[in-house]
Amino acid sequence: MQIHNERYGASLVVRVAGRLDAVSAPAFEAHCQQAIEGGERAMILDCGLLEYLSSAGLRSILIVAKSLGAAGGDFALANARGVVREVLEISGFLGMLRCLDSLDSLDAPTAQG
Amino acid sequence: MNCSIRTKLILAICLPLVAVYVLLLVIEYRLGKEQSLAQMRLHLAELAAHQAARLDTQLTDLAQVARSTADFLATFPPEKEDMLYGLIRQNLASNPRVFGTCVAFEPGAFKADLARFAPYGCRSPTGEGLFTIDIGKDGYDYTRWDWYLLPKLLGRPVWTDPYFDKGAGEVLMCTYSVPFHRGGRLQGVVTVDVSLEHLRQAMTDIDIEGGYCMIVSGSGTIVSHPRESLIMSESVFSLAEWYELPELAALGREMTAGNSAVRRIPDFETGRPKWAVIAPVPSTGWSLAAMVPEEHVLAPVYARLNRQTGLLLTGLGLTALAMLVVSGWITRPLKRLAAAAREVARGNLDVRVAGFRSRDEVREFADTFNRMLDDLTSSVEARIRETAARESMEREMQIARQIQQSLLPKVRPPFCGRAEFSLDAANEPARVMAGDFYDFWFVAEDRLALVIADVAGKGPPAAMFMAVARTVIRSFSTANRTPAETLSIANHLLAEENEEQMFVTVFFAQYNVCTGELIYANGGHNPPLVARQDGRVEMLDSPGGALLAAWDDADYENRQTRLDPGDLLLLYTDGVTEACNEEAGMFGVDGLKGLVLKLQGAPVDQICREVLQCVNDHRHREAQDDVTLLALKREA
Repeated sequence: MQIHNERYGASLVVRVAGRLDAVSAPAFEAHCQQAIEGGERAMILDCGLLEYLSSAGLRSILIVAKSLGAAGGDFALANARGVVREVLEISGFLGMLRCLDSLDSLDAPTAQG
Repeated sequence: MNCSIRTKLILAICLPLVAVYVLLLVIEYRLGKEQSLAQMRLHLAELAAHQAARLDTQLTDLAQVARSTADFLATFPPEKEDMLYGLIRQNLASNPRVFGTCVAFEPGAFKADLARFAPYGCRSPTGEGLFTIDIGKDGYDYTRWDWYLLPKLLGRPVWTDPYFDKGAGEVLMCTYSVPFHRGGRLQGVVTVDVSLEHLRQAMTDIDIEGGYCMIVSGSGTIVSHPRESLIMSESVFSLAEWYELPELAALGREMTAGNSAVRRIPDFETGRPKWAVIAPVPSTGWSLAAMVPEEHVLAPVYARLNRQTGLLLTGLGLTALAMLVVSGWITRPLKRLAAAAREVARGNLDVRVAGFRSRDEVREFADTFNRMLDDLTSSVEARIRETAARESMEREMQIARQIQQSLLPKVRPPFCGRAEFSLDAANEPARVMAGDFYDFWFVAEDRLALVIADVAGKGPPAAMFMAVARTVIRSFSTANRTPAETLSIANHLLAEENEEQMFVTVFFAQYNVCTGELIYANGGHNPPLVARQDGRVEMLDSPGGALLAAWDDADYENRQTRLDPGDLLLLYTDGVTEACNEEAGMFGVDGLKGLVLKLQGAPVDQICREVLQCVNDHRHREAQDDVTLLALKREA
C-alpha cells in the first residue's frame, strides 16, 4: 500500500494505492489521524488506485470518517470502482458516506503534502 | 599441536632453554679448545726452546772440557802416562756429566815405539767408581773409528753420531773429539763421551704434562726417546715410512733442517692427534722435540664442558619441574571449569565454580561463567514461567472458544425429520475464536429465522462483539417484526457506545417453511446465492443496507423472494469468496457459483462439507479468515 496526499483547495485528497487490508489498515489510520490532528477538516479518500478493500480496511475508513466527523470535519470517498466499489456498496458505506464520482468538482490541485 | 596446555607451556619454555644451553656449550667448547691449544703451543714452544738451549749449553760445557784439555796437551806435551791418567781422572771427577774421556795419540806420537796409545777413563755403567784403561792395547784400533778419523781428517773438533762404544765404554754414546797439534803435526785427539742413557734420563726428568721429549740427530736418528728400544734403532723417517705418516716425515725434515716449529701430527702408534714442538740444538746439529697428545691438552676443556653440561641439565630439570608445578596451578582451575561446563552440558544448571584464591584471568573467566549460568538459570525460569502463562492463556482461549461455539446452534443435523426443508451450517474459525457466526431458530411455528454475520476483525474482541451481536439480534427478532425492523433495532443498540468502532455485517432472513417465502434484510453482508431448480445460480437482490454498529441512523429495507422445491439458498461469509492463493487469486463469487451449481443436487450437509473442503484446498496457507456457511434447501 502506498499513500499520497494531494491538496485541492481546502480539501486534502488521500490517495491510497494497492491493498487496504488488516496489514495496511493501521498505517492508513495513523496517516489520516495525523492529518486530522494537523487541522485537516475536509478529507477525500481517493480510491482510484485501490485494488482491494477488506473488512479491516472498511473499519479503518469508518474510524477515520467518525473521528473527522467528531472534529467537525467532512469525509468523502471518491473514484470508487470495480471490486472496491462493490465492497463499499454491499457494506452500505456508499449509502452512509458522501461519495464523489471524480475530483473534477474540486479546486485545482495546489500542493502536495 | 594437539596436546595439553601443560605440555605446551613446558615445551615452550624448555625447548628454547635447551637451544640456548646447547649454543652456550658449543661456544664454550670452541673457545676453550682454541684457548687451551694456543696456551699449550705457547708453553710447549717455550719449554722446547728452553730445554734445547739447556742441552746445548751442557754439551758446549762438555766440549769445553775436551777443548781445554787439548789446548793443555798442545802446550804441555805429556811425558808420563801417569800424568795423562791423572788428567783423565780429574776431568771425570770434576764433570759429572762426562761419561768417559780419552786422549788418543797418533801412532808414535806419545812414544816413538808405541804404535797406539790411548788412555781412557770412564764411569762404571752402574754409575759408581771410575776406571781407566789404555784402549790402544788389545787390538782395538781406534784410528779407524769416526771419533778419531773425523777430527783428524777435518782438522777441527767434531761431534760424532751416536754409536755403541764396543770395547771401551760399552754404552750408547756420542763423542766430542778435539784434535791437538804440536809443530804443525797432529799429535792426537781428546774426546769426551756423553752417555745417551744419561741424556735419556735427563729428558725423562723434564716435566711435560702427559707428554715427553725426544732428541733426533742431524740425520734423523732417534738419540733420545722415553722408549729405549727406539734409540739408535729407528729414525723419524723409518718410523714415518713404517707407519705411513707423511706428517711425521715432514716433521723429520724440519728437525734435520734445524728449524723451530709447532705441528699437529698423528701419533705413530695410536693415530690420535698430538702436538709436536721442535727446537734445534745447534752445537750437535740435533733437534729436540716435545710431544703432547691433544686429548691431554683438551682434557681440562672436556672436564669443564662436562661440568657445565651437568649444571645446565640440572637447571633444565629444575625449570621443567617448576613449569610442571606452575602449569599445574594454572590448569587446575581450568580443569575445574571444564568439568563444570560438562556438567552444565548434561543439563545441570545449578553448578557453580568457586574457591579461586588468586585474582587472575581464570578467576575472571570463572566469575563470568558463574554469571552466565545465573543469567541462563533465570532466563530458563522466565521461559518456564512464560510457557506456563501461555499454556494457561491457551487453556482460557480454548474455554472461550467452547463458550463461543456453544452460542451456535449445535443440534446436528438440525431439524432432522422435517420433510419440507433441510438445513446445515459450518463454521471454521481462522484463529481460536471466530468473528463469524450463523444462527437459526423458529420465530413462529412456520417461520424460520436465518442469520449469518461477520464481525470485523478476529480473535477475542471480535468474538465478544459477536456474542453481543448474536444475543441482540436473537432477542429482538420476533414474529411481528420484519427483518429490516430487527436489524434497525439491533444496529441502534450496537452502535451505542461503540467506542472501538467495531461493526458487523449481518444477513437476516425469515423463511416460511410451508410456502417457501423468504423475507430478508441485509446489513452490509455479502448477498447470498440461490441455486434454482432449473440450473440458474443467482445472487439475491440486495438492498445495500449499512453494516451494523457503524451508524446508528442506518436504514434497512426488506426484500422478498421465494424458494421452490429443490431450490438451494446458500449464506456465506467473505472467508469463502476471498480465500486466496497466489496463482489463482481469490476463490471469488464466480468460483462459489460454479461449485454450488455442481453440488446443487447433493444433501445440504455434503454441500457444506465440500464447499469447506474446496475453500481449504484453494488457500495457499493457513486459514486467513473465518469461513462460515449456511445452506437451506426447500425439499417440498
